[in-house]
Amino acid sequence: MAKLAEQTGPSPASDEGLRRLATAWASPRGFAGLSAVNHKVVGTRFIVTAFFFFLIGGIQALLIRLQLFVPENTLVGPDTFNELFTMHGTTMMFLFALPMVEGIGMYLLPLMVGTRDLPFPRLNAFGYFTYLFGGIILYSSFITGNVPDGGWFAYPPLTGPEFRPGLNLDYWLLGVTFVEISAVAGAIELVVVILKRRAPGMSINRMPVFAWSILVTGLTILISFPPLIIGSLMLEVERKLAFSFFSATGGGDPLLWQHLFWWFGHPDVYILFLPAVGLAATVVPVMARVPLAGYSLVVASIVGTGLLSFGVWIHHMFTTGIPLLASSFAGAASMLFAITSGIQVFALIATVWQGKVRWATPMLYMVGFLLIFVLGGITGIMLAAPAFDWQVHDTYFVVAHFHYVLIGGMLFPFLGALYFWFPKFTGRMLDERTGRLGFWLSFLGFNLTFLPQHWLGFEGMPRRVYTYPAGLGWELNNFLSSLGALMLATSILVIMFGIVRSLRTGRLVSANPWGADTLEWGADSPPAAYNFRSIPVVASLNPLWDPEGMDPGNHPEYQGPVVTDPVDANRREVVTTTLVDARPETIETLPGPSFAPLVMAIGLTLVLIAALYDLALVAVVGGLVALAAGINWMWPPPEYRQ
Amino acid sequence: MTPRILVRGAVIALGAAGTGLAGCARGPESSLAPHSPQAEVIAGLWWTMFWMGSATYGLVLLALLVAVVRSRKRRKPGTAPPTFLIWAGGVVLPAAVVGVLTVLSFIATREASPAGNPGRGALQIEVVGHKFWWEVRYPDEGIVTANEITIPAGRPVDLVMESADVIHSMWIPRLHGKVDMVPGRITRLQLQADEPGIYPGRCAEYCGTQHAGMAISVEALEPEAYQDWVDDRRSAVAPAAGVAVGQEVFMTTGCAECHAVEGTAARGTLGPDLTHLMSRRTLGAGRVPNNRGFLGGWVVDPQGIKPGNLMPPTALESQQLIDLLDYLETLE
Amino acid sequence: MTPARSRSTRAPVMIRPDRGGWWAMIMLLGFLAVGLAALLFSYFHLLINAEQWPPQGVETPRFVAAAWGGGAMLAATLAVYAGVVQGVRGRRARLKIGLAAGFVLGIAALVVSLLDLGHVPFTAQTNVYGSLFFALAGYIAVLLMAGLVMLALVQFWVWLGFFGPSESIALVNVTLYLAFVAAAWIPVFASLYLAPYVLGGA
Ligand code: HEA
Ligand code: HEA
Ligand code: HEC
Ligand code: CUA
Ligand SMILES: [Cu+2]
Repeated sequence: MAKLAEQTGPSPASDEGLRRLATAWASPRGFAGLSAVNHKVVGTRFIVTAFFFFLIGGIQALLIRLQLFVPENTLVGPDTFNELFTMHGTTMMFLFALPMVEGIGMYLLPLMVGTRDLPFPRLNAFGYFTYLFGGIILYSSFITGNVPDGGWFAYPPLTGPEFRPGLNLDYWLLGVTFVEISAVAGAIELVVVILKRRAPGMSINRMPVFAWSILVTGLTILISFPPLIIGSLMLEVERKLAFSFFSATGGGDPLLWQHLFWWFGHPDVYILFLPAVGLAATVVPVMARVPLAGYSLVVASIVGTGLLSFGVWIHHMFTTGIPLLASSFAGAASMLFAITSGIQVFALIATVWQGKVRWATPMLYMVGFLLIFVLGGITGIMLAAPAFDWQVHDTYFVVAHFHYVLIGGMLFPFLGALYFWFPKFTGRMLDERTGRLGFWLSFLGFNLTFLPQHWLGFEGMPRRVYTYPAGLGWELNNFLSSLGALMLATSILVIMFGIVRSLRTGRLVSANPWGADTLEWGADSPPAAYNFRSIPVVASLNPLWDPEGMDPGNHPEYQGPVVTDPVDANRREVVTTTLVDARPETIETLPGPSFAPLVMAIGLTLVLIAALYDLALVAVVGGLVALAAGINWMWPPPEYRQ
Repeated sequence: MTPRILVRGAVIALGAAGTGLAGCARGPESSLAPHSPQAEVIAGLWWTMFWMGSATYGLVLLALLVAVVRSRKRRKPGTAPPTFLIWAGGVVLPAAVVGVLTVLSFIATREASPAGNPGRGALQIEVVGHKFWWEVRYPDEGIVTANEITIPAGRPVDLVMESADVIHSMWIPRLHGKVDMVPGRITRLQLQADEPGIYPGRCAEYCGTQHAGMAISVEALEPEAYQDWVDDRRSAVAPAAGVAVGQEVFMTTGCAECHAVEGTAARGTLGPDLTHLMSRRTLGAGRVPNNRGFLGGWVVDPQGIKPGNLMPPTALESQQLIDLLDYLETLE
Repeated sequence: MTPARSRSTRAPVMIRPDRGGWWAMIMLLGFLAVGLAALLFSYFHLLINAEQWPPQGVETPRFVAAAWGGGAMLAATLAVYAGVVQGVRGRRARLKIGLAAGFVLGIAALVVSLLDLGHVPFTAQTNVYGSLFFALAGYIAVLLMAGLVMLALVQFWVWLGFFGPSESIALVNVTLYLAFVAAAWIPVFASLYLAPYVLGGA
């Protein structure tokens, strides 16, 4: 505690100071890179892996669309088709969207709130490995011939022991649960960095909107993932050990699963959407060169979305025969999202309204986001009318709705963010020509794919059908939709081409090429391992824009500087600040690189495999490995000796 | 970069919506071609919501367009954030729209639900969902059939539904929204066809390999025609002469273990009741038309016609098959 | 800007150290609490659906042994708490005694609970009640086992001379965790052993 007061080391501006910082924070390279824990290394790993899974999920989507190109097509059979949409949905939701969101948060947030790393770097590394291994386990089902085929919400009894013997669903339940461990670890990480590691002076009213959105997202994850994890374990013991929860024969109830799943599932869609709101609310003001309009309203609407998201899950169950009263309440509550999202949408419009917009690729994607998301949001409001949902539930109308909100409300903002932060990540600008081309192709391709699906829903086409007869009026719209998917795929290729080329030939940039306002643009491009030379002090919501934004002298509540680094070349020190006002409080030392997280993840993966194949010995070995790694991980550093 | 984005977006979304929705001919399974009071209510709700939604979307586009135009005309960024815009567009507009919508939705939902139509004297029909076909029973009339429901037009009918295995969902788009068939529970769906006709539909809840091949249809008949239909089913089925050999094949090659035929020893319940087989329009829950050719194909190779359905192929000599088909063709 | 000295902000606060690690434990406990809520939701959902609770053929288990187990859990928490309160003031001997007593009591609680699970007149496969019973009781038992592993390690490190007045987060966290498990036991006990009498019509 006392250390806060003393500045014992050399000044961070001096060469000696920088050298010490660099040594203390350096990430190991080569094979030892597996022990790296730095938030930028781990965040990048998340982003790259998630993108890879996006491509796989996209290829599955292409196969789905190719099969549905024409009636009675025989490209794939019914069983393969069922595996395809199951793995497409699962991959996109669990292996792409969420890890992508968390990866971006992990990379950006410490920079944005002005600290040097996430609070639990080893937990972070561990989270990455559980994600990776969980994904590998899920996909190894293709090798062992046990591909899950229960759909992404895996309703029992179709997924129960009676109607789905074999290991297919065990792969799904255990693999997804493993990936969720990573999501929960990431959520804890992100919430704590926002609560406790903000730069001195960044009181909650000066927190970037992105930080708010991730804060709410993280808390929502913590409250919405337990039911799915618990539900998955319940279904797993029902399958493996003949418990009964969900099968009517044993006195259980199939609807119980639906409650547990959607208690998770509905908040989950806002878990994907809210960070995108945060990204858009960060990018649009910079491109419009004005601060975000209605900051407090937007923050309130984000918090409101998080709270409300737990009250509406019944709207996925309108057709199950639940009481009308419950349906009506859930429907009415769902409609309230028009207000929370309305505020978010109009805050962006108002920002454009007063700004002078620079029409670069990031901005194009953000406008694309508005155009697409609002349409998807409006169809969402319609779905919240129970009677209407009775007609279109489980049809392509719903498929259209959720791709509008998922792709419009998550993929597009993410792509915009990629173009926006690419210079920060790599030090090079991302190519504009391919960027614009990619945008137009994806925007048009997207609408061509999913707009016709609304009609398919009205014309009676259910989702999850591997083929359809001619003569029902479904041919044209399916044809257009498949054509659009090909266009969408082309756009992804164009974007990827642009990225690969820019990585080598992109224009080199300085720290702040967009003239942006948040702290990360004060760090080098790409940022040094330690992020900032000295911990910044914040006196404004837009620190890099206000001339006095980083001057502690202008900060009434601020009680003195905290330039602690670099005291010691062997220690990773960060400043902890108070919850609300972000007054400096203590210095905490973070642990450095370690193989323990990797070993622990391997140990737990062994347990998982053992659970799949009933190998008691392997389970014991895996458990011991994990325990040993845990002890090594947690071993207190010498200075904890009293 | 220009307002072109917005214009194009608007053109794509609304232009296509207009022509597509209003113009196109409706297919046989279109929920926008209602033929019952309930489907009518829901379609009406949809059209109201469509216009409200389009207007809302138009307003959002307009705001965005104006914002972009203003932003383009500016020399430098403005200073006073137009907070009124957020309040107007983000709070007042949605509150008004969803306020109205909540009420409309509530009314429509009530009207379309059994609560809104306490169908007194309704005919009760039990439907049981199976992987991948529908068992249909008329408890009062003592009729058992499959995959086709015959009802009197203009009269409310109560479907009392359950499932024999996994979750299915009953959906006849032109007559009503869907209701799931949940194992261990009983759910109800009220149907009422305005006029005679055939109303196809299908299973709407993913139920396994042949979820796509689980179609159903409702035939509404004039009340007298319906009564005739019932009387026909109820008159004892006397096996036509000369098909005893075929019946023997049916009883001995395994068919009877899964199928029931009234008046015979065949009592199987794993497959559809075949008593009235030949009066059905299709085979395999809508998969293929019901005629001698497909019937033969189905018996020999059901997996080729409907891969993944639960009926195994039966190896028969050609004479056996002919006899069997002769017999099956007498099952009216 | 003058490179001033800042005042030492606050003395260490025992119950609310308000640092990263403390918040992580709070998040973890929140997470586990929602997990418990999901299990209890399942229990009551199926209870409400059932005609009779526990369903036909199952006797409500007797709760005396379970109550002893819960009592031991509570006592273990109190012992650890007492030890830690002393420990952060530098009284290492008392810290060690508290942790050790807590560990012994915790093991006792675990043993009693597991024995009790072995003696109920049904199995997890009997019907939903059995399944839910083992799921809920199992949840508590697993949490308790994890707590005992933590307690053992912290204890081990305390014996090696780690943790005390200047670094107490591990001590505080293990106390919090055990208190959570003891608290979580209460609604589980009430649902499994008492609810059938009140709601089940048994
Ligand atoms: C990013 C993900 C995301 C988002 C943000 C949303 C947003 C919403 N969703 Fe969606 N939804 C999904 C992802 C998402 N959804 C998924 C994946 C499924 C299907 C899962 C499956 O079955 O596989 C689904 C399914 C789904 C259903 C069930 C359909 C069914 O299965 O039958 C319903 C029903 O109520 C619904 C409603 C809503 C509503 C009311 C919103 C609202 O939050 C939308 C609010 C936004 C706006 C309204 C636009 C902005 C507002 C304005 C511009 C103001 C003016 C607007 C008005 C006046 C209307 N969604
Ligand atoms: C974030 C989530 C997300 C995303 C981004 C997508 C993206 C896409 N989805 Fe997905 N979808 C879901 C989430 C998502 N989907 C979910 C949850 C379901 C429900 C599943 C269920 O019912 O269980 C679903 C279901 C679903 C269906 C319904 C299936 C059915 O019910 O039978 C369809 C059909 O058209 C579809 C299509 C598409 C298409 C064309 C894309 C496109 O946007 C994809 C674009 C990407 C590409 C085309 C990849 C490009 C790659 C290349 C060009 C290859 C490069 C190759 C190498 C480098 C080797 N999706
Ligand atoms: C193992 C059980 C089983 C056996 C044996 C079996 N069937 Fe079937 N049968 C089924 C099932 C299940 C269906 C429904 C398939 C579907 O539509 O998904 C069916 C459907 C049919 C149909 C179509 C009914 C309709 O209305 O669509 C006919 C006709 C039929 N079977 C005849 C036969 C004959 C003849 C035999 C003997 C040679 C036979 N079945 C043997 C289970 C069986
Ligand atoms: Cu039955 Cu889908
Ligand atoms: Cu939802």
